[in-house]
Amino acid sequence: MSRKLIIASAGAGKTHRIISEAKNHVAHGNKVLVVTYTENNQKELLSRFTSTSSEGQLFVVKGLFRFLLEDIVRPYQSCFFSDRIETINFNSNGDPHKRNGRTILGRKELLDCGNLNPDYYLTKCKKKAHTTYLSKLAFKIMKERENEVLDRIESIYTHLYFDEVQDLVGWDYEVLKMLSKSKSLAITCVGDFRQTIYDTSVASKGPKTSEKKLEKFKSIKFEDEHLAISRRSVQVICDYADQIHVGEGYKRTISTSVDVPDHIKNHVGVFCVRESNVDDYISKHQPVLLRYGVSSGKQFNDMNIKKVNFGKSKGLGFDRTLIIPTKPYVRFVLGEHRVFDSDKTDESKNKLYVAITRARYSATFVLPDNQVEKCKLPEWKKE
Amino acid sequence: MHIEKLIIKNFKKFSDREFDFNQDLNILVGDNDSGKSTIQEAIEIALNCSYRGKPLSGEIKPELFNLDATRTYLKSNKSSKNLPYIKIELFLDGIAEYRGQNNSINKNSDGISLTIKFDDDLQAVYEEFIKSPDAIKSIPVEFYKIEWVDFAWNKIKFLNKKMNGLFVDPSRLHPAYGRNQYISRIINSSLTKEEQALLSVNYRQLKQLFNDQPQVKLINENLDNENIVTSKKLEIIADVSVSSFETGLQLSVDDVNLPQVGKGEQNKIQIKLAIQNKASNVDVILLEEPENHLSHTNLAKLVKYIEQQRQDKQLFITTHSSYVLNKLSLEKLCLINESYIRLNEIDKSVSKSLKRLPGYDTLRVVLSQKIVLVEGPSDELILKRSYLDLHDRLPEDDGIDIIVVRGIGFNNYLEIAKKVRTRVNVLKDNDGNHKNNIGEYSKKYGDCEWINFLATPDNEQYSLEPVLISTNKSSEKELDSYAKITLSTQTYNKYNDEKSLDDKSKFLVKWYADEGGAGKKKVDSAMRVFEAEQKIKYPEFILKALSFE
Repeated sequence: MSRKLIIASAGAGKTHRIISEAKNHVAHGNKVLVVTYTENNQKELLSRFTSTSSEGQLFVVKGLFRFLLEDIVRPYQSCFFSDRIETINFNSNGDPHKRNGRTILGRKELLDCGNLNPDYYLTKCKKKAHTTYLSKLAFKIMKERENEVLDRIESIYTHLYFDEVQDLVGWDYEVLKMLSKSKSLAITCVGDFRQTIYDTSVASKGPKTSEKKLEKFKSIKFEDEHLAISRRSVQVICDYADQIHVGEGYKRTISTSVDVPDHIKNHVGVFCVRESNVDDYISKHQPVLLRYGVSSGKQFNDMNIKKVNFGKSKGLGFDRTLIIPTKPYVRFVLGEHRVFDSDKTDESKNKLYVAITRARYSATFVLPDNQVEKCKLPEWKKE
Repeated sequence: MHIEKLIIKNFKKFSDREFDFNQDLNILVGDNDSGKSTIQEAIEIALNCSYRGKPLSGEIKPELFNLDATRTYLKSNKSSKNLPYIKIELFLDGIAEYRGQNNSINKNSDGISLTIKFDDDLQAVYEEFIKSPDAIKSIPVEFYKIEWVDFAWNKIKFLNKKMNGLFVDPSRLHPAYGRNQYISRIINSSLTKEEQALLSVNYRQLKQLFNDQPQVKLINENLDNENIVTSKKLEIIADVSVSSFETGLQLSVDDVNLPQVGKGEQNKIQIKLAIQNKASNVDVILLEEPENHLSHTNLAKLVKYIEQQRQDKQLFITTHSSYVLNKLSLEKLCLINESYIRLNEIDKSVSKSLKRLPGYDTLRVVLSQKIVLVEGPSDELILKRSYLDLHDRLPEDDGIDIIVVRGIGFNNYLEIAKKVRTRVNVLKDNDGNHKNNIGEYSKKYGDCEWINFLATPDNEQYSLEPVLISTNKSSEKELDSYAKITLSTQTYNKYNDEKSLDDKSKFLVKWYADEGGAGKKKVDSAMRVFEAEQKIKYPEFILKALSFE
């Protein structure tokens, strides 16, 4: 059966693609499961599907943890743990077994007798599973009960979609590998590796970087398909965003949003604006303000416009954006395109990609007045 | 989707039992209080999380717990660890979402598990509660919770559950019945008499308005337009009576509300509507004693309807009627007893012939402990009298059931007894050829030590009458006495014309062997024996037929 990896650009319409494929499967009586990471995306997928189809029974959306717990761990957990795992324990601080950088005593993975240590996978009451190790537990159970787990999932679903696979790491990929052994399931992974901005796991298990993740997909026989289009942004914005990951093997993003409404046409593209003109810019164009966090661009906090943090803006689209750049972003905007090369993670780089690709028609960086001269971007000026 | 297996722990009669089922029909049979209804209740609980139509959460009472489990708890120190739990597991097929290994036999299967157990969150309160343990006289159900999960150990939510059961219990007229009473009590207590009357009048007018709406009329015209459910007029109407004010709707049959129509009609309509299930939202139907309140002809029609309209629904029917059993097919029988026995492997020809001749009392073979099978009514009468002479009471007083096999032969009964292991003594004529009719015939049941054949090896004594004649002729006086008891005066005078014992005996044998009215002669004689003041003598094998040592 097919194993496909769709590598998408920002705004490529991943959701649109998944929904239209799913509708086709469902029309043939097949049952589709979409596994995704964020709650927003789950809601979006469900509401998009149900608004145009009445076959809700055949279209199921689950969060990654819910999928792991309901369809892999719980049905066969008795081979390791006898108490029902009631829910997950979300490890917001990463590794639950580390305190001040040191491993807590008694939290080894295996007990001396060789059995799995419940304190490694579960909380003290043995009823909640640590999210950090949930996919590892799922993998162990699949190893133990490979045929049963696959058989069960195959009997329920015909098509599996994993959305936002760029956010999967480590053991998630081992689970994916086990699932891909199925002879009947069609598995499609959809990801936008330039938008990885959070780490779903702190465990040391790879793959962690986008590069390694793409390699892993190849090794488990997934075929690439580039969805290098943007249904959101105009071509100028696509081209500017593509420059961030230049040389990393991504294809040029082609804008498919050709129609620019008349009232917008006066200001289309990527711009910079000097700080002293921001008030005028805002009153003229009413952009959405994008910032790193609440502490960045404090001087604009009182402004009566919508403000969104980079991290929260994923998946959203706005006509016009006003971006408050961090220091490295300023350097990028001033033409230093390799500024992220020395970063340990892709987080900063990818957040810039996310920030730029939010805008449909215009993305404008705020620069200190004294920097504007050095910037190659056209400057927005009062008439 | 079907229920393949049921496991019950600590629920009512059953401390730990397992039952396998047929995918189509299951006819639950057993003595009174054997647990037939308990099985249906268990299925309803696990499928719907409800008990006799009401949400289970409100119905958790100490009576639901198995008596032994309750006693064990009450004898213990009553710590929360000793509190018994009720567990009901349904093993299903065809619902992969419900698949997993979380069941008491650790089997990878689709299934549902419902547990009524101590709620750990209440541990602290419970500790306080048992500080005076002697005051606890029953299971403290207030500390219990319900866990309703599938075998994948995911919680089952009522609204998106994948399998639905419907419990048709004609004794409980309408699931909302109790609620109606409750509502009417509130209304009655909060309104003055005048207000109640006004309310009633207005509601009645509203009802008429509703019933006269063109769309409502159209719906009623289509409800049972071919008179399949009843030959009478079936309508959905707005109900006027204040007692059902809350639900407002009631079924009416020929303008009479359902609770007021005859019990048989109520029964029939409920069952037919359930089987018909126009909404097709039911996978399992539980029927309690469909024969209740129905005449034989109506029952015949109903059973035929069930058989034809069942489609792929799985049915669980309790019954005390051999007719229902035979007609729906003997091989679907599930006997609930000390052991659980199904007849799904019985010889097909047996179930087939009983389907055609459903009048035979097969349930007696299934349910009785001791059975004597005899050829005809004369044998039954003679046997009863012999037992009475010996024990001063009738065989039925000692649980011995004499069955006259009549037309369909011993074979059909014996095939059932073979599977069910009912102890059977067969009193059979040798018909002049003991080797074939007894020797060869009984070989088929040679392995069944619970089936015994009793007959005389003497081929001359081909049936009961020659046997009795030969037993009662040790002297002429004895034979005369026998003849006096068994013959009418007219025939006795003819008999008395014979001179020697030998001639008299020959006369008797010939008289019974004569064509024309032989059956009647036998029964008349047997009746005379049964009612006579004097006793006759019986051969050893007849006395043995009634002994189940």
